[in-house]
Amino acid sequence: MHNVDAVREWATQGSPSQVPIKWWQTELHPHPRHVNGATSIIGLHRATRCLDNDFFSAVTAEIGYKSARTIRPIRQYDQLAKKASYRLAHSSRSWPWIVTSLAAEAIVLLGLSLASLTVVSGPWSYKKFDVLPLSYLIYGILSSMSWYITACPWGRRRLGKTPTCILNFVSLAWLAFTCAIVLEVSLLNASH
Amino acid sequence: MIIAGYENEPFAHMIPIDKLVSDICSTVPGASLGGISLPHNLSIEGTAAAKKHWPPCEQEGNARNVGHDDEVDKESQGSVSQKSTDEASTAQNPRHYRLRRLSVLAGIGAVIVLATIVKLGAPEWRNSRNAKVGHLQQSIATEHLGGRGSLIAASTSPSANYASPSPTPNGSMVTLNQLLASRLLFPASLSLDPKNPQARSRRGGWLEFSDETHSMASSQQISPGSRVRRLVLGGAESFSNIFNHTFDSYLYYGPVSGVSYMSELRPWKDPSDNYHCPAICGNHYAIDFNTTSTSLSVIATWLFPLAILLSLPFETMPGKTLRSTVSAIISWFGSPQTALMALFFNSYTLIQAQRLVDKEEPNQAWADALYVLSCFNQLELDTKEEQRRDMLTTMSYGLFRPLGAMDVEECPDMELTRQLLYGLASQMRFLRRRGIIPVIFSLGGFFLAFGLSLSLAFSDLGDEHQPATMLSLGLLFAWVPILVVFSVVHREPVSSERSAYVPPDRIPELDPIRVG
Repeated sequence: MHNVDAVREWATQGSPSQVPIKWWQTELHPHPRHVNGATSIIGLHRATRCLDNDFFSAVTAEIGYKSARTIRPIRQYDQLAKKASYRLAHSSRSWPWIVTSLAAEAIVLLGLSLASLTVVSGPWSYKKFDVLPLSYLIYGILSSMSWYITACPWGRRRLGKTPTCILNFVSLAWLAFTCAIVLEVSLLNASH
Repeated sequence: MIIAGYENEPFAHMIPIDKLVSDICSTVPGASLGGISLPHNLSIEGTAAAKKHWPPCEQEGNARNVGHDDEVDKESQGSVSQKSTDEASTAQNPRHYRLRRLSVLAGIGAVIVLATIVKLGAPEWRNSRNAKVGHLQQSIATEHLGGRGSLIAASTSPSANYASPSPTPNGSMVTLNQLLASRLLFPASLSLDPKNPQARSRRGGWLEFSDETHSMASSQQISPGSRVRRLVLGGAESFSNIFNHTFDSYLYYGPVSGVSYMSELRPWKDPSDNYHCPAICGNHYAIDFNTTSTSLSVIATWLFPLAILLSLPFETMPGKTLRSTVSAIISWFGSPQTALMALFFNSYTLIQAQRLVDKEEPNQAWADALYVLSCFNQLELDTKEEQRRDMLTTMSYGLFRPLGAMDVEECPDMELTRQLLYGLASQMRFLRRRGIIPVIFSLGGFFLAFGLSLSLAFSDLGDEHQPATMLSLGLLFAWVPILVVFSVVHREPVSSERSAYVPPDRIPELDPIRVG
């Protein structure tokens, strides 16, 4: 990013051959991890905020292949960045985003529903397991709360990252508790 | 050709940086002659000072290996020693390998512990117990009834002759008492409701008596079972319609799931005989343990598939291995729908990028720009508007300037940005596993085996004694395979540690370009 910016500054001055490009140097510049605009991977770790703004669609909506080949002055890229930034900040949810988020929620809830149905209507009606559907329901609610906060544009901006981390931790702890009950009873009891 | 300071990197030999630099020097005079001085500590051949700056975030982590690095530097003068340096450094810095090794060892340990727990009492104890039970059953049948059929016949017709086929010294009533008591030493669930004599509790256990019986038994400090047994069978008392002649019709003879001695015919002859219970069942008679084959089947079905979780793209930041791994696990399993949402949408973005590339004429710069853009789409942008705009300004210039159709002499920066974009896209492609289709096919084979295992495990699900809880647990985790497959398609790093560097951090890998 620094090198691209250096080339850009150099080109803005008219690409003079006698002026050196200020390439990034480890000794002189801080590591770009902390100075660039991106931090961590979405969906894999903590970061899910980028889903608030479809970065790819915002940029490709402003510029295409043919228009990119005809841009000559460098300031047009600045205008392009302004438009994309405005689109990122003010655009509403796109239909693909809504569909994919609902599909993700449906997959998890479908599994939870089937699991609860199996316990309730299955032949194994041991009293101790009557709490399992309730436990599954609690896990579904806890995990869906984090999903809802992330899915809503206002939720993440107002609440920040901490509530979702706490909810995820509580949800994971509850899931581990549920699994421990099921495994303890099922592994040690008879299965004729 | 190894880039300066990258001798320890596994992909160092794949970076055509000399070609990159020479291309820039040959095509962009302004760049190569722009007064750019080669830093004293940076060269194509590599120096110790240059190497200390890579990877930037590993400086702390590598502090322990400074001595080793110095040795490596001395050896890196020749090509042969360079190869040995790569091998040595790869063996010294595999944090992710260490983590995976620890995970595998922990998993194996957990499996061994579970197998030990589940196997308690089996199989020798179970075999010996079954042999004893079978022997006692046979002795009862031959000595008193001549088989279970006679027992059932006697129990279903109270007015019939209760005498045993083989005479006993105590007469027929004594034999009946013995027979009934043999089933009552550990009485099954017995309902005293005359309207529903076969009703029983699923809990198993002791007789269910009326409040009157309980109070009577508790006042005399005796167990309800023995009290009722003695009074009813002796003919001294009756409860409702239950007396010594009808007592047998209230008994439940079926198996009781989970309690081993109730899953078979109770074979004791004498109610006062307290010897056979511990002798036959031991101290674990209350639980019917799984057999070895059942335990192994459960483990193979439910625990080994968890190994697929290791296929998830864990990305460990140097020096933050444990924290980043725990954070990833919390995010994935704490809210799987959120992770799936991000994966689905980013996969859709990748498809969109491919469509845009196919839509236009073949152009490497266009493909590189969209590829880098789609990768940046997987990153979390800074929330500050100013930083975000600055990033977009630089990015739009760096991604789309190389697409310009102008002359190189007219726009020399176009070729420079093209080389930068090419280098960045190449670096990002190196870090991702290619051949997604074979990977998915291999996962498909795994899921096929997993499905067969599931169907075998629940082939007798209709049986009332088959617990459905494990099936419900499997359904609870139905989203895990989807998460793994989409993670493979979406982002499958070849190295969890190197992939921890997000693209903005990988840009310094193009640092040697400044030597031009």
